Amino acid sequence: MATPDEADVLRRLERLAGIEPEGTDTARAIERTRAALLNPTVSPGLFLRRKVLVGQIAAAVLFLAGIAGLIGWLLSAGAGASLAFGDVQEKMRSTRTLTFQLTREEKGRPVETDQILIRAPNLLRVELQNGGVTITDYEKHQSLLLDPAKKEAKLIQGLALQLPNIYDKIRNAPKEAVKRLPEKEVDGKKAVGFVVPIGEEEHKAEATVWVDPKTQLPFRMEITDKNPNGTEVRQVLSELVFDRKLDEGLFSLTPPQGYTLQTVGLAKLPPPPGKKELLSPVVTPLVGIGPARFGMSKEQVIEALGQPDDIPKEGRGSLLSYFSRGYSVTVSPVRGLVMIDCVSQKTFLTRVRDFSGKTKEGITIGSSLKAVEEAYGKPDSVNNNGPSTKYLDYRKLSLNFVLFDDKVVGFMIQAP
Amino acid sequence: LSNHTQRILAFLEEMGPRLHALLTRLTLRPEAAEDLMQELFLKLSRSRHWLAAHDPAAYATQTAIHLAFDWRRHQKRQPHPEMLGPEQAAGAFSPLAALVQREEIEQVLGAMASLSPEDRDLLVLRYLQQEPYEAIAAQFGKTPHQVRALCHKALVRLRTLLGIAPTPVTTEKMNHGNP
Repeated sequence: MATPDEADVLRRLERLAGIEPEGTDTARAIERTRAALLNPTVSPGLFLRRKVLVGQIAAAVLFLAGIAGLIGWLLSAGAGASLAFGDVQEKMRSTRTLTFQLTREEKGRPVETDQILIRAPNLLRVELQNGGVTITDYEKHQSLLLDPAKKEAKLIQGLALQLPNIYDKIRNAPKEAVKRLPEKEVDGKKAVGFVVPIGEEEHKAEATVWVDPKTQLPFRMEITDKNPNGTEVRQVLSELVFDRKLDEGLFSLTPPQGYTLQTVGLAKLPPPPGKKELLSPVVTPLVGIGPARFGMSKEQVIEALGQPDDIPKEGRGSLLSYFSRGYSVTVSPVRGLVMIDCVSQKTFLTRVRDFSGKTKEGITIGSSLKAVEEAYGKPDSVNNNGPSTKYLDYRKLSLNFVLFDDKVVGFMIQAP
Repeated sequence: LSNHTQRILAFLEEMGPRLHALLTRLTLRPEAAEDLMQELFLKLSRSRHWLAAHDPAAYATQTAIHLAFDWRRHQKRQPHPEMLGPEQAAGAFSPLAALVQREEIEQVLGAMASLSPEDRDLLVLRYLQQEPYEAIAAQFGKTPHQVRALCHKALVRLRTLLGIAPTPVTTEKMNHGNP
């Protein structure tokens, strides 16, 4: 075979460059990747033993839950380890801010060091090692992500984080037994150590808190555990400072001048539709959802289901979001309605309503694995993603289920 | 957060479509692109290098290229029923032309897999992702002029490899493509 000339090779490369996946394929790939990333057993996280639901797994929430539990212990009177420490607790009871450095270590090596700033009752600022900044307002349910290198800002609206007020958590933190450690030198100074139970239920862990006996204030905390894949993860909170003056501007959700802003998610979900067949439709594999049928054009789908809440940019116009009703549909310009995705809050970082309809065979969000198998038989394939997530695939029905802890948290049907 | 989850999700939203398109081009199989997309982002979410990368998008793109070519190496060479349709893969009109073009594209990808990682990355970035020389130069720590020369050399090596590739389209395939 003769060596092709350069123009021929370039022509082939150009053709290859011209290949674009279907919008539906991209939407599906992104959806699946998002689910995998949100799975607590996959993402390396700050908290451990966290066989938790995805709605709770935004790492920020877990992180704050742990920190809040820890601070809760510090603030709770009569924790019992030391009378002297009672004075410290009293002093800290009125704290309004906390700043510290957080270092995440794996296999004894630092992976990331972030600066954390918390302002009561609802503001969090994280300054990442690479210069990125995230500001979260739990009351407004908004998070602003800043990329100073590119001067890009992304505002996430309708954030579904479950910890709107960490100080509530602190106030309600149970008084736990605390073990006192012998005095020793830490970071070049004499310190008193305490082993503190933190977190609740699945998030339970132990933290070692080192307190400077002179100032009676903690200056370092260490949390060590193994993540679900067995790797030891250690969180080190150092340089703790309480009640440092933190300017309000540090927590502004308005991007700095010169930044381009992209807004993601809906600040508020639209009210649910009155018609039951739209709010809680029956999903029939190989057929469609409620009055919408596979193959319908975008216009026909909108006529059947009503105006979508949003047509997100990443779906290239093919994805119609009805998350106020707990579902989204994908409509290919060529093949019409091709995919229906029924979701629940447990799989989303932003607010959605749990799908309240059911499949024709009676499966809905929250159904058990057993119920799914009784309705559809054994799946053609089961993929496990860590110990708590399962993907069930029923090929002939073009039907997939996502289960957390053997309970359905979402399902998807595709056109035959 | 660690901010980590929010960060990787934001990155998925921003770069997901572009990386998925790249994986589709390099695998020519939608389901493989989908699998690799998931693998890519899980890998990134665990990567301290990505966290510290000066240009996370460039890091992710290179990781995607490596994943896709690793995948190709492990694949059987037979056509797969779930591959992209010929017209989608080749943008052609007749089934035969589509099949020929499809085979040509497969050949190109096969030859690229035999190149050095640097040649391969350069060709993908320049000719498939159509990035400007300046952007590639920034990623590789070279001048645009040097990158232009390196791309040319990589192209020459690709031509050479294509020259020794076997004839792609068999009679059986032609009959199948043109009933």
